[in-house]
Amino acid sequence: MDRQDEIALQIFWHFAMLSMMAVGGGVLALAPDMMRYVADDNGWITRQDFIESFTLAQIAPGPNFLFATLVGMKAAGIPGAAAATIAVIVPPALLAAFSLHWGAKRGGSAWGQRLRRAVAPLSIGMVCSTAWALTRSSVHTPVDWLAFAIAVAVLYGTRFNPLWVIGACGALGMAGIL
Amino acid sequence: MTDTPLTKFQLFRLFAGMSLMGFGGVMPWAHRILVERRRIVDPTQFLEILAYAQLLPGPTICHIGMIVGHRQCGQGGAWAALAGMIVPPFVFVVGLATLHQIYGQAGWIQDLLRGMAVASAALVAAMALRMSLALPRTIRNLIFAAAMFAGIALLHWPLLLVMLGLGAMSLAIPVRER
Repeated sequence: MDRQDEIALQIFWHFAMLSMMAVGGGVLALAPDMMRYVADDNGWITRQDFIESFTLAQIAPGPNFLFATLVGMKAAGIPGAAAATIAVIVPPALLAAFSLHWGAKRGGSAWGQRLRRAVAPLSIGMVCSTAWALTRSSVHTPVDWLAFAIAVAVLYGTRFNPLWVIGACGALGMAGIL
Repeated sequence: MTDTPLTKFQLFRLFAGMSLMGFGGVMPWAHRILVERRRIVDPTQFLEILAYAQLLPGPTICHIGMIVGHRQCGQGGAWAALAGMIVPPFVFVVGLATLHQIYGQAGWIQDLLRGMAVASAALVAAMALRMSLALPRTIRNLIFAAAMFAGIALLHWPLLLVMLGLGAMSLAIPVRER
């Protein structure tokens, strides 16, 4: 096995384990731990690479967990992209298939309610961690912060398509402002 | 529900189309297409499916696809919907990243992405804000969310350990009914 496949395999195991931790907040909430694993602990890519992959995935269509695909790709090419994607999708999908098969249909059951209430604050803590990690790595100057604050206000308060905000910030970047 | 259930191929196409439209998230399109346009599920069913999907770990949008696919066409339908949701955007995003690998050294592309990264941080921050404000404001929720944030964002502990520890504690301490 060459080096690239070895990295792909390690990414596969780590992401597969993480995928089962993504309760309530989605895969986005796993970003800080993925960054810690691939960039800080193993040094396969830099934090900068991670942020770039994250941003590229945001401007492409599709579910937003595809950032994991690009992180895998950056670390270990196409095998890495495939490994990361399968790892994030398949374990939860198997669980879903099992629960559909056995007819556990309702998230409204007493047990489901209890689990959801227990996990809700944790998933919010995770999503806030993702926001924190991304902001620390991408927002530097006072002008960046101003643009960031306006973007959050627009995204939170209006129903504009987020692509407009991404486009506007991209334009400001090209103009040398951000 | 529509009278004749969809075939596997139709499910694949339905979710592939939905996924490729989803810039900045597929969820709004899932509602628009499944409920408003195609009337495959009614609004109440959609909420019930969403609650079920959120209970499962992993990407919520994929679980919605699998549940709808399963109701239309059994296990095969669930996997067909999942494949539709993932494969086309996977190809798209890998193509985009390949282009970036080839042309990404150009200064203007780096400027563009640096600007866009501010917006993608804002996107996650707005989501974190929305989720936080939707959570009931109790001391319990505040403590657990803050503990998760401290563990992941500030101390950089492995998510697996933090999640298992806090998850067990959160399940053990019952939520007081209000």
